[in-house]
Amino acid sequence: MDLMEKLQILSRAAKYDVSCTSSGVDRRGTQGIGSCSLAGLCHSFAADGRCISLLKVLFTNHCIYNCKYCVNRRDNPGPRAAFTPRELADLTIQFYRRNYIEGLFLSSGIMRNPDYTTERLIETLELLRNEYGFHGYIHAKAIPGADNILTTRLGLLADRVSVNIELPSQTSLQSLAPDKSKESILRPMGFISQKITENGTELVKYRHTPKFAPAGQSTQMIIGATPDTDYQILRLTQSLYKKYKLKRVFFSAYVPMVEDRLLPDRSSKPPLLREHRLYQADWLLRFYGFQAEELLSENQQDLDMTLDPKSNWAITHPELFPVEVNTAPYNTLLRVPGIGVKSARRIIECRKFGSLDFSALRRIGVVLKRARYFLLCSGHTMDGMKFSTTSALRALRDGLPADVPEQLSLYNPVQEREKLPWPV
Amino acid sequence: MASLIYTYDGSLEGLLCCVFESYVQQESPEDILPEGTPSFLPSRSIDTERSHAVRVWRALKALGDAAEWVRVGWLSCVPDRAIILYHFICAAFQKGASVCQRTSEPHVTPVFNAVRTARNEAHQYIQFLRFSDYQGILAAEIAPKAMVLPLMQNHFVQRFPREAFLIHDISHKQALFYQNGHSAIREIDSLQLDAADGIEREYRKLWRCYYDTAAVEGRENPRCRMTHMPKRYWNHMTEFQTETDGTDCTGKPFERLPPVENT
Repeated sequence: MDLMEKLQILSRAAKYDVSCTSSGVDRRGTQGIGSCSLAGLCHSFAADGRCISLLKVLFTNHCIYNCKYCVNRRDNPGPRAAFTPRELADLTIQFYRRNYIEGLFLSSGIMRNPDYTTERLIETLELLRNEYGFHGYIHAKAIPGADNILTTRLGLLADRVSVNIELPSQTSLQSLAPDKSKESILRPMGFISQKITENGTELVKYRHTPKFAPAGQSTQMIIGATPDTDYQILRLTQSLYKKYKLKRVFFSAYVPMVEDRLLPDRSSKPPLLREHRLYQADWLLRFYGFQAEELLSENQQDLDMTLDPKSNWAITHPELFPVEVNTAPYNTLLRVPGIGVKSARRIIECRKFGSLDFSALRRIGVVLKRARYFLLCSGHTMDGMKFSTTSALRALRDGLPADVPEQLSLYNPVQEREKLPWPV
Repeated sequence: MASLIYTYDGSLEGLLCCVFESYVQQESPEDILPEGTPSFLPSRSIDTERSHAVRVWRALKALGDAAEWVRVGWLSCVPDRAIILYHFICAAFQKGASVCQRTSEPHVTPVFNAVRTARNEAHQYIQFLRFSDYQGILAAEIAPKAMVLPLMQNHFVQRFPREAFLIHDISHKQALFYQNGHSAIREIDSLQLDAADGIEREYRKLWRCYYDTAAVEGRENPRCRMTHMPKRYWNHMTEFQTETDGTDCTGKPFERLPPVENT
């Protein structure tokens, strides 16, 4: 089998892994080839709009497991292939020097057993790091069930290590991935997070300690293949960030590829909007100081599809608004729809030199279309503003579904122009 | 005071001399235009005097990031860069080093945005430029709006210390050269690259094969792709080109690649 065919088979098998970040390490190139930039670099964007940062391939798509949602399941017919370590290392280097990619994302189906598979991955990475002097980004998948010593060696070669949690609950896992259990996934995750912490303390003592997964750990779960609710998913996400110190939790809208009575219909569309809303909520957890319990609750288990989670939260918490731009603390500013991390920081910086008005906010980059409903500048609302819940909601909805135009009526005029529930 | 326009030689030094002149004359020009631009307002031509430019530059260097902003703002090549930088420099001398934090003020915001535009474009090109291997020398062509080469220099030099490479900026007729630890940006009129050899073409095909495979069917989203990777970058990207020899189709017979030499 030639390299082109292998690449096609093994990249097709890997592409449903969503994580493609190359962030988290800042490493200047010295000798050899390669460097890493802290924010990561996306070298291309595929036709589905997802970034291509790393050469994302499986080492092999042979697999001893039979997870129902997976294209590489044992029972799925189709071509199988495997790289040799040298083939893959060569390809990575050649792509890297042409600036096609930021590094390698290496995962694998399970050949023979987890240990054997991990050894093959280690062999490839050792070739890249030691023989070719590659200092670019490497993301390796830890194989659940592999020996801790092997996982440690893998973590010392890679920048980021991840274990996929696959599905958001134990019951879902039991029905769709009978060979895996919550325990078997969380054990390596816990081990890696413990190694990262240990390594951190060692680095303080000994500067030249080799770094263990310096870009941290990430995971992903499939959305929409099982009946789990957004509330469950966000709670799980939050606890993964807290307990396992994960850098990222990725969501992957389930794309039906295989027929099974336990899975959604093959003709069903991937729940892309739901995935988008979950990512918005994920950002709120990581950068905006929100808790999962603030966004959703036992009674409200799913995110609103017509309104982003932050606006939704703001609309339901009228008692906290409006916020005075010139005095509000950073954390309060962050909670205003239309103000992001960057503009909140710039507001704090700029208001040291004088009070800000709405034109200054516009220059700063605040999205006034959304923010004006929640802000005061020196005690004033934005000029010419007429407030009503409907107009606020219309402005906050991002033009996605449910924003159905309605026929105006001559006979029941202004009376339903409600005021926003807070004084403005 | 009657409104007045300065004309200058179109260089950063020339602009700094305009700042010098306006300080000496205690006047504020309406606009600063390159020599020869037609205008209805009375204009005065400002001569470029190196010593004046150096004096203004030194004073700016003492004001935190201000000098760096002027440098990058200049590289941004936004259409009105001369006058916005002029106002920014005046503001810098009035407000001192804090000028770079006053990003909400009318004379500062345009320069802040220009700096951001230039840095963003350099960042995009760092991601999207594609090298081709010509017998061991890597070459890339780009067509940026801003003069991004100085802003990308450091990144590529430290990423590929053992390679020899050149990046040709077609829009500004410049090229960045690097070999053996030395890098330089030089003006060049044109650069003719040879046709790619067989091995290079194979890697390009492999990359296109990978690129096409990476998209998930059922999730096509052309608008999202264009937002992240605007079409003006596509012209010089391998994934949107095809080989002229007509073999560019996945699954065709494909010769084995020689192993990479360990450099």
